[in-house]
Amino acid sequence: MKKFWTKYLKGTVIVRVEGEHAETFLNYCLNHNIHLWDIKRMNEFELELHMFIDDALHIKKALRETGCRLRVIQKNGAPFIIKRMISRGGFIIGMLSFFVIVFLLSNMVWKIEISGADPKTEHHLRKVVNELGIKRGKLLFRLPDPREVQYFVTEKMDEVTWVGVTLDGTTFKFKVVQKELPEEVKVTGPQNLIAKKKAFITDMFIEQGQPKVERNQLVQKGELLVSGNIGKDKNTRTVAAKGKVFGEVWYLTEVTLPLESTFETYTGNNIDKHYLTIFGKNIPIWGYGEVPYEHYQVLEEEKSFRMFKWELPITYLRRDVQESEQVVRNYTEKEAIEKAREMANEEMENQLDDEAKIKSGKILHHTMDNGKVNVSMYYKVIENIVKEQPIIGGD
Amino acid sequence: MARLKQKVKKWMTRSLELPADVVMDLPRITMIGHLHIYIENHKGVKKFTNEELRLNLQQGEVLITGKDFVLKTILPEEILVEGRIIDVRYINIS
Repeated sequence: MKKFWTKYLKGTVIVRVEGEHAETFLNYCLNHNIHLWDIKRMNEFELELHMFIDDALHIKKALRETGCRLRVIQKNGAPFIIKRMISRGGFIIGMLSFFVIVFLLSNMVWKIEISGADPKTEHHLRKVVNELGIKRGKLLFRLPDPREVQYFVTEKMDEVTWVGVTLDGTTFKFKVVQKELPEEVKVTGPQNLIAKKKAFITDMFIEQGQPKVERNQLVQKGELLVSGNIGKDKNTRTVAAKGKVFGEVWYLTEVTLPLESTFETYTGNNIDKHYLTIFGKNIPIWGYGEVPYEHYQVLEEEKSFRMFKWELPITYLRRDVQESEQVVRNYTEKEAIEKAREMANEEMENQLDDEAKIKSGKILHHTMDNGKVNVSMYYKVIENIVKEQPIIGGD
Repeated sequence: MARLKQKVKKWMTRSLELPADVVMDLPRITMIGHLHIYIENHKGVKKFTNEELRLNLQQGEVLITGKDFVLKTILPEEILVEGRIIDVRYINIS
């Protein structure tokens, strides 16, 4: 017995066979491999039976040979339903357009919610967001994803410290943290200024306090530079010493650099591949074939679709295959040392604050081992060496 | 000649213990209570009504009587009948 579904898909008919000897018709069908089932006798001259639609269409010969007539009672199965559906086009169009409309509406921006911003900032934020194309009625999958939006908005708006962007269904939510007003100058209690590190003093700018050191003097770490006690004898009082003392400080840095290094660079050739991902399976829609590159890196970008509040298991996936190249870089010893010096300089500059200045940098010595260059650099840096030290127990 | 063949076949089923329905081309009839009857190795329908089914066999006929017969399946070699079976009878068996 065939399964019900295969019968349904093929399409079946219920027919009545009329004839003096309907049994001969049955036997004919048996011998010619025409599948019949559920045969019932209606009356003396009539049999009711089920058969496949394609058999029923080629049965004329059998009827002629057996002297029977055939009447179709009922038509069942998919072919008939499809036929009926086609004839009722409006119904189908309505059904499809319903899904399309719901699908589109589920993938639209309906609301932009901003929280934590004052009206002015909110207005500005709305403008910036509009500029990005996020407006009511825009399709979600044509907009940049929330992370990009967040990056862009944070860049664009100076008055906010941070903007959190999330996409909740059809609502774009912006959480804003506004910048506080600049901190007021803090009132400091009485204090001395002492040396932060061992240095050779080159310059002093004292706003308040009694300098205890002179130019061209070597000071140790923790040595008193500017005293908060001012005045003489009876008129002494303590104030907050303020000022800058610049001193020459020495740094020793070491840089190690391999002579040979490999790294990857993009050649600029790329292939775009587009996929529809259904239940985790990737179905390519554009960009077939093997990747012709020997070395490559793949950047993936995924967009999901929604229906009502659910995310559909169908996503659109774009793969950007970038051809890359292995590049081997070889330095000679001399080049490597030069490079190491540059690196050390850069590192030094990153370490220092804005006021500091590198006076000179010298290579102390360098060694070679295992294909690496070790370079020791000696730096003379002029920087502010002041550190505040509160005076405790003053009057 | 035909008789000799029959005899040989009969002997084979007995001495070699081969199933009789295979060797001698006999029908194999399976019944499930009085509801279903399943006939293999038939040679065509001779008569079919609500109360009776007459099948040709290699030798003679089989007559099944009952009520509300429906031929559930009909294939060149097998037939499945559903209904209330009252009687199964062989006719004209030599």
